[in-house]
Amino acid sequence: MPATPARITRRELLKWASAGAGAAAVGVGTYAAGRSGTPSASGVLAAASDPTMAPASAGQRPRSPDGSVAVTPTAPSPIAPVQSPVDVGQRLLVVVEMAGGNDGMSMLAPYGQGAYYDLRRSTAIAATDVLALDDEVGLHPALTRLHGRGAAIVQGVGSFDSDGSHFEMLARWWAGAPSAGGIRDTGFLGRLADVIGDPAAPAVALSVGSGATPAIASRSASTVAIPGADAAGYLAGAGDDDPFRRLFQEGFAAFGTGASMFELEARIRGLKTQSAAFASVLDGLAGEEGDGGYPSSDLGQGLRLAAQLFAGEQGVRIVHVPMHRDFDTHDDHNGRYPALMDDLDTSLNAFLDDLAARGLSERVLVMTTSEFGRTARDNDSGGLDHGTASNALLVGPVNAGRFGEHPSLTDLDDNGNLRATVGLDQYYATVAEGWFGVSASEVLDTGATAIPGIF
Amino acid sequence: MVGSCSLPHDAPMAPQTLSTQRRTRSLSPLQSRRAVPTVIDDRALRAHVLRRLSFGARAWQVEELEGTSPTDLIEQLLGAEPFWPDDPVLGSDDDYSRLPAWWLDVMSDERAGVHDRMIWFWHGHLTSGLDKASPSLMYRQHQLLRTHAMGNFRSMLQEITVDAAMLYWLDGAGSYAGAPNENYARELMELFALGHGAGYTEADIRSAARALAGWWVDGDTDDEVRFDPDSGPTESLPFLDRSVASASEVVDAVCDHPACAPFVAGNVHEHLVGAWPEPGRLDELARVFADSGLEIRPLVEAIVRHPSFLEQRLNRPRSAVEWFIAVRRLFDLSIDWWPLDLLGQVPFNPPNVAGWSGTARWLSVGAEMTKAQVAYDNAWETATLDEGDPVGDLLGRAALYEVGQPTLDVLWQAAGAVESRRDRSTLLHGLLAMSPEFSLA
Repeated sequence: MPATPARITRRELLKWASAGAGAAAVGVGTYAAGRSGTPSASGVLAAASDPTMAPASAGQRPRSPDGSVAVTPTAPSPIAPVQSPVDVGQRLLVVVEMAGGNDGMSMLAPYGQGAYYDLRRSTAIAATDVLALDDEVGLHPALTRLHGRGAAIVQGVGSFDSDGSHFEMLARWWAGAPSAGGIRDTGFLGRLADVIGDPAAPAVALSVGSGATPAIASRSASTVAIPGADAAGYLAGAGDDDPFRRLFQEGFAAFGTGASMFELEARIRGLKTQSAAFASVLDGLAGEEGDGGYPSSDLGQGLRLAAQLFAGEQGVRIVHVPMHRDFDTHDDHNGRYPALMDDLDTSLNAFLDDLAARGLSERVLVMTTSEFGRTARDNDSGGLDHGTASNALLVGPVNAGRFGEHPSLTDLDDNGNLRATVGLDQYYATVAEGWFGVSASEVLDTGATAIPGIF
Repeated sequence: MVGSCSLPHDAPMAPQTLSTQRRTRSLSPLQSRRAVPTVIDDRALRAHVLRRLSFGARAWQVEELEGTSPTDLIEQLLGAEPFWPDDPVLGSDDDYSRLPAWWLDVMSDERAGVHDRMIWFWHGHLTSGLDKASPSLMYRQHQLLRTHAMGNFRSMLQEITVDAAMLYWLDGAGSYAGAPNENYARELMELFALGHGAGYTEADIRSAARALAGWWVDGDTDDEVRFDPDSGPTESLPFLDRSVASASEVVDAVCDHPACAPFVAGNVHEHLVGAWPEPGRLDELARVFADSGLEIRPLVEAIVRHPSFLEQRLNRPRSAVEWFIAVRRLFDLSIDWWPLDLLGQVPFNPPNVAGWSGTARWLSVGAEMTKAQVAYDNAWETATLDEGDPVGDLLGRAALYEVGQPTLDVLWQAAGAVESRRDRSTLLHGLLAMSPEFSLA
């Protein structure tokens, strides 16, 4: 049978590629220094931090008196309602993007149904291994800390006319448009930034990734994409003691001014101004020693930056963190998926600890997204092809428990896939209304309403 | 005919080529020496042609070609012999660093022209990457692209469908017809040949996946690609209104589909011209491509011989690789490629199966920070610029002939703010690399 080469993931490749580059960072480090060595095959994940956490913060807090949350929690919930006492104007959001297509039935396994084991001949999680939430479903075995802390799980999220293309479905998720032909010129998070953000802030929404993602494309608010905070010192912060670097920075900032002769030039000049402004926000962050308990993964590092920026109170309200991991498990799903959940669990755990230490726990909501789930039935490569509905997590000041209805495992669609029970726009409406007190109609054009009971 | 004085109407308004309009300022006597033409001249057009049909213009090329019209230059480039570089020294199979470095050097070679430009295009279109295929398999695929880059699209698609790197990248390797892996089937239609929404169905994808099954890569025999009949299709399957029973028949059906020629033609046009063609223009190009039996050369010729190719200048940002090569050339330094990782464009390692689609990805705050790091850290070893006209010297070295007044002002201001000639040269090189004009392709 076919031989499979040892897999070096992109992440490992890049870890190796950039080893040391991050540390060279600010000042006059150089890229030209020769590097050698081989990719580190050792895990991307740092040692797990203390797993003996208390579950999600006190459920006994009084409801916020301003009550600007538009949705009345009425749905049955296994745990008493948790209300953040924080004014909606102070609330913050982190979006963890699992691009590639996260298998909802591996993150939340419906182990109580025999049909799950009929469909998943090689990729099901044994009932004895799941971290049971009740007698029907349980979390992936790697999500131990999250299981202890509790989360709101939104089941069956997707599109009612799903498409099998990563790119089409990512575009719909970024835009907040569940069907073909919806809004595409701005992203849901960008529009949310328009509504909740300070128009003068250097950045209201930030994406911690290398490219300008459409997810944060806005109409008016400043939204920014960066790979990390390391290189900010090139564009901001040079003082009198570093006159040469200051001239470079002044020249760079000056490229942002001046009349433009055509549209693209104007866009580039705007980018110069925006870059200089946001670099100075990043440059102002206090340097922090050590790893802070975070793993070195993109997710861990993105969450750490989010915590620092939130604590810095410079106007960043939304941080979008693509995990940049291989969720697209067409083969060897069971060999690949546990590392993804381990990264999620370890990173979120460190983040929640960090937020608590910074006094931000009540202000930050984490939501997960993925363009689609995977096929109900596994293929003969021990993998799962592109599917439809998936499950999503909301972590932070939420009522822990299951929301929405788990898709049926027996009533599949014409392509043999799960039928979504919650539209992605409804999931977004829940966050807009329930968390930020922003009417869904301000940021979505589908008439979606919030799922009750989560906040 | 685009002559030396015509600025086409629908072209983006290029900034004027300076000097006479410079505002009088008392900063430095240096400024008065600057003198360059005020019209869009053939040098700007030749630089444009070289930027789009190779990997950037060199000042000496532009000057040496004095008297060659832009359209003649296009013909010269189209008629040039393809460049066949020496093989890379790959080292061990887990050494990922050498292959991207090798390709960057090839792209930077003055012999790399249209043929190499199209190899680069196909790599971003018919993607595979080092994260799933070894360097030696990626180089094998590169040679496949080198062979077919200006040849026949159908032949290239047939071969790459059963190429070892592709079989790993899109999970064709080991796919079994009884429960096939759908990854390649879907992307073949969506991204490689037909386009999303071209009319194929989920059932077509399932049929194609079964018909494509049976191929695998034999690690015991130097990664030879083999077909295992026991894993392959056992019957004919309905696909795109015909019936198919093999990978080759799937590819033929895809290439014969009416969406194929316009989809591929539009993508090639977008790469070379910087914009998707207008509907009428797309029809013309699709017809050229289809009538030639999907031959790539006539399509490329039709695209670049059209007036729109010279008109649509400065209409897209430089990609990370284009910018990086331009900086290396301007600085005359072989800067290590690692920044391209942060900029999101490592050759042989596209971020996903769609390659580096779109141009918005090149305009981000993060990219500005990384570029500033590259520009600032490497400018120390650049050429020492002319004492009297450092800015003119610099722009000439960068082969930039369309530079706006605001940028000139910034450069002159900087030139006047530094005492030493060496520091002035360093600062100006670093700043020019960050200027709006330098960001454009």
